Amino acid sequence: MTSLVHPFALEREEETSSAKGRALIVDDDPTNRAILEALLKREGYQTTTAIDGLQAVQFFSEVQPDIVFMDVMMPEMDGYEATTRIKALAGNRFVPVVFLTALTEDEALEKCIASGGDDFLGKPYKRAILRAKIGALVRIQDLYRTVESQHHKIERLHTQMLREQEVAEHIFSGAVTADNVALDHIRTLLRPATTFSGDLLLTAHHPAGGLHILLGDFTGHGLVAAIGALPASEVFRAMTGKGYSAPEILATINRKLHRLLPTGMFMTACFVSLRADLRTVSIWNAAMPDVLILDEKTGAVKHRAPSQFLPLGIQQNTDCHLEPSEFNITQGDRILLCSDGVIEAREPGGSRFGEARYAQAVTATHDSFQSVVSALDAFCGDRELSDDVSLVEIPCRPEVVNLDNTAPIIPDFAAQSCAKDRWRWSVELHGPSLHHVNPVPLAIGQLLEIECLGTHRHFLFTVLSELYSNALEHGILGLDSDMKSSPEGFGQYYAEREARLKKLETGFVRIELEHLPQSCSSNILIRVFDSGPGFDHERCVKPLEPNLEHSGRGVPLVQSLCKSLHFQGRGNQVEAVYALGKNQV
Amino acid sequence: MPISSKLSEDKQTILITITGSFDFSLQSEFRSTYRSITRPDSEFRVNLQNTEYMDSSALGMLLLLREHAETYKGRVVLESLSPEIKQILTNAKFDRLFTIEG
Repeated sequence: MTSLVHPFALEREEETSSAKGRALIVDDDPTNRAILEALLKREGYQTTTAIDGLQAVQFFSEVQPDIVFMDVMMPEMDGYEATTRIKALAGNRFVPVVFLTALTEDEALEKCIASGGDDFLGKPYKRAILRAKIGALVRIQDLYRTVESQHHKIERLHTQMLREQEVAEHIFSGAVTADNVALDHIRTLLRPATTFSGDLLLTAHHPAGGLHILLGDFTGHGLVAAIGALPASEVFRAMTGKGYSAPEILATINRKLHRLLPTGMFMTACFVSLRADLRTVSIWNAAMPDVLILDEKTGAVKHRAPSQFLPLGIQQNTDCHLEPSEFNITQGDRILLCSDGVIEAREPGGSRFGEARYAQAVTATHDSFQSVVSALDAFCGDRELSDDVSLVEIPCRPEVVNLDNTAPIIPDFAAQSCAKDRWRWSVELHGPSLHHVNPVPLAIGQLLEIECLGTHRHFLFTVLSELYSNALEHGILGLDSDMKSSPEGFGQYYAEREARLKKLETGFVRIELEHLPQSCSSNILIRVFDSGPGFDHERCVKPLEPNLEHSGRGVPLVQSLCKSLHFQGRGNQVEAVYALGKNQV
Repeated sequence: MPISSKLSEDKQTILITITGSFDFSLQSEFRSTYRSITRPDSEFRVNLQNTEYMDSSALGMLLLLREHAETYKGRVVLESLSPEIKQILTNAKFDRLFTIEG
């Protein structure tokens, strides 16, 4: 049933219906406006009317209508122009524009759609048709709103996820890679495909000198791939620090990953052990691209270490012996490692960077590292990475392998946050324990908590050893250092020391360490107490004099290393202040 | 279809053929080809003749297949390898874990 409704008959319904939203009616003819307004009110719309296109654009912004009915021919601005502007104002919001037209020419109708209109309503208006069209447009509008709200939700979640990942990554890489050493000298290109990298670079000094480097690549990339990095790095650092060899470390990492990772996840890795004498290097390659050793002078590939082992984490036990590839090197040679992300990198067209391009780039110039980076950049253009890319160049130079040279008396101690905690530590040994336990390594172990100790460690070792020996040998055991003045006496002294220690039943030595952070340096207070009778320290006001009676050669040495040194009490207490500042020599 | 599979008439051998790129995107599809095959002593043949590329996730997927096969006392055979695919597998030393034919 269709009906042409008289507008004025519908006025009374206006107040009862406003659920559908607001309609903007644009028509220069007052009668047409009134008719449509009445019809729409009956359909549940609130209405706003505009007399031409210009006013329509203005009202659109003011009243934010949900649907627009637009006449075509109007003064000031016609319906086409007004529609184009309104659609631009609406942006992503879907506000249907229905053209009001008696036009029947295809061209004019096409123009309505081209200008941004969504439908037509023929004049004279028929209520059933109006309802049907509104119904269809509202359906589309609902769909739009659903999609839009879902889109917002996804966008919000995505942003949140990225933010959380960034924070997690920050913490994560702090835990995994913050303790890496020699990075001032090792050149790296580390490009993760996502926030988290499945590639892992670990470096640590061996206590006997030399450097361990592990470049690993976990299956896949992103967070899942990165998870295995934590246990791997823990094992790598702890075992390297304790002086374990590369095969032992690799076997342990393998066992740990095998236990932790699900089937199908593993780590390909290459392990480089560069010895302190810089004469040989050992390389274990487990399914990584060839490791290259480049000649210092020519830049040519001198040696090549291809994959020899299964990736780590697949089998419970590694290949029995893990025999490395050993190479002779000369100082200045460079070792080049890469993850398969370099070889497998894609250009926008989809083809691989490949071994051939890699090999070519390596020998293209003397600076192989830079050549590879440039070639890779040129090849990939701005295509997004599909896998993590890692390239590492290790120069075989003393500063890389030598622990002492890499930490020259701590260049900027105060800037290091690890030096800011104040703490106190003590150990007390009684009677027979003094025979069995040497407290000096315990104290050094505690001092190593200050991560950036560098060469201070050696000096502190000397100070502690001397003060402890004095307390034990002179304070507790009552030995006279004069005994040591002759070669025979020297042996006698230590025999006597051993004998007295064995019989020792009472007495104690107590060592106290206190870390006192200051604004531009940091002090370590060392106190050593013993239960012995002490000595007349007042008499030794100038303890640096060479003819010291009571404390032998130890004291001058300690004094030269410390900021201050004082004997206290009856001479059974000594307090030394050691400065961890940049001026310490 | 990047993955197709065919069970032999005696239901003892399944042939899985992988065309194009064998990578992470095939994970669930690859798994669905074999997970229902639990008959003891089955042979899982993976044909890689038309496989152009394999990434480390594909190696991982092969390990999962191997685990499945071992659970049911079956075996995995990789067949018809292109030189590129063969190189990827031997570089990873997977020739020690899988029977490779051709």
